[in-house]
Amino acid sequence: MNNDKDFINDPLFKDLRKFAAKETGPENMPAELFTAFRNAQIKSARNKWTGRTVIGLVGVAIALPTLSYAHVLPKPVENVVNKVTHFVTTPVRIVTSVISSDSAVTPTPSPSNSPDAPIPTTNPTPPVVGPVSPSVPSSGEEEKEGNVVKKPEGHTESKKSGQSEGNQEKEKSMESSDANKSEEPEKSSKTASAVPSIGGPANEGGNSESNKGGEKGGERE
Amino acid sequence: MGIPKKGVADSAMAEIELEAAVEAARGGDEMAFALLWRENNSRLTKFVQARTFKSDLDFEEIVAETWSNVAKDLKKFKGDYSGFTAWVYAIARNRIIDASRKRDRTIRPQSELDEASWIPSTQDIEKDFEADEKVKNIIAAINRLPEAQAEVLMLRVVSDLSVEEVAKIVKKNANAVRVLAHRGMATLKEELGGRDE
Repeated sequence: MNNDKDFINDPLFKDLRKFAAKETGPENMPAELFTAFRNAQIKSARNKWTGRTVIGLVGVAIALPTLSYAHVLPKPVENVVNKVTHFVTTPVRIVTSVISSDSAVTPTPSPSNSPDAPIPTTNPTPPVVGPVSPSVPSSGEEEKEGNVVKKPEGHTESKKSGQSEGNQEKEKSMESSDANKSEEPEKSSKTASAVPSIGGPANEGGNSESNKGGEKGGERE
Repeated sequence: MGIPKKGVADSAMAEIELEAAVEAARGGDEMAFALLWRENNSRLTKFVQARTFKSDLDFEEIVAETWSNVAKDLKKFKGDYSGFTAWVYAIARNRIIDASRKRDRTIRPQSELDEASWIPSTQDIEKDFEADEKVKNIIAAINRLPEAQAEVLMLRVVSDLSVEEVAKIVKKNANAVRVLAHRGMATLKEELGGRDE
């Protein structure tokens, strides 16, 4: 710091310092500068309030629909807000619907639309009710509708456990009813391949055997 | 420090007054702004005058633009009186740089260049220097130094700013400013000492 003072007080700069210390120029601030200062103050105040107003309006525009959606606002206010929101969003909705309808009309290149692809049937085959196919086991699948699988009510276990239980139930019913109904022989014959036989002479020995057994059951009736 | 040593500004009381004046001016007080202007204008004018010596730049216009910018942006300024002084000089420095760039871009006819358009400025400065040959010589010698050294010397001697304030203005650290100032002074001593002999 002493070096800094020595630097300033160096005799080399003596004349220059004298010149710099001399007061020159006007004593009072020019009127133009006063005006510029005043204008700058007014402008900055205006800018400040403009900015705050814009931020406030944006905040209200975000908050009101949110509060209305949450049913926090009083009913009349909520109605007004909903009307305004509807009014504002209607053009957007129209544009969106127009765009979506356009996209629906224009064919989209997909494998299903290609000429080689099989033509989808207008009436899909109804779900098969009745005898279950032998390859697919299960009681849970009886409730299948299309691609949606409905679980039977009260069943909370997994699909596999449901299937095995269904098989067991079938087997039990087969044993107990002893093929009383006319459909049962067919059923038993179809399920025989999938379900391991529990016992009884009729079900022993593969498909042909089981068919015979079914016939026998039918004959018993 | 950068406070001019005259009138009320001599004492610590004056320093406090100037600190308060900065705050008041930021709040829109015209009298406070006028006080700041009075405290800084003379040295600022001399600084700009010395920096634009022997060039065709209009130093009065640069000073006016500087104060106009100060008035416009004072609300955005944050700091004390020392910071305010540094800020004002930084604006002046930038205005000088802008003006010289603008002058360089402007294509003037050869006849105008031959007439040595910086002569009126020299006449002005002669009037202000009261034909003091020594002052003119030293200012001319400083302006012949490398740009950074000349700038630092002017700010230190003519504007009477501290090393820290100069460092803020030229955007260098304090030690770099000291080095530049001492190198500049050494060169000046060589040049002016040689001439005197």
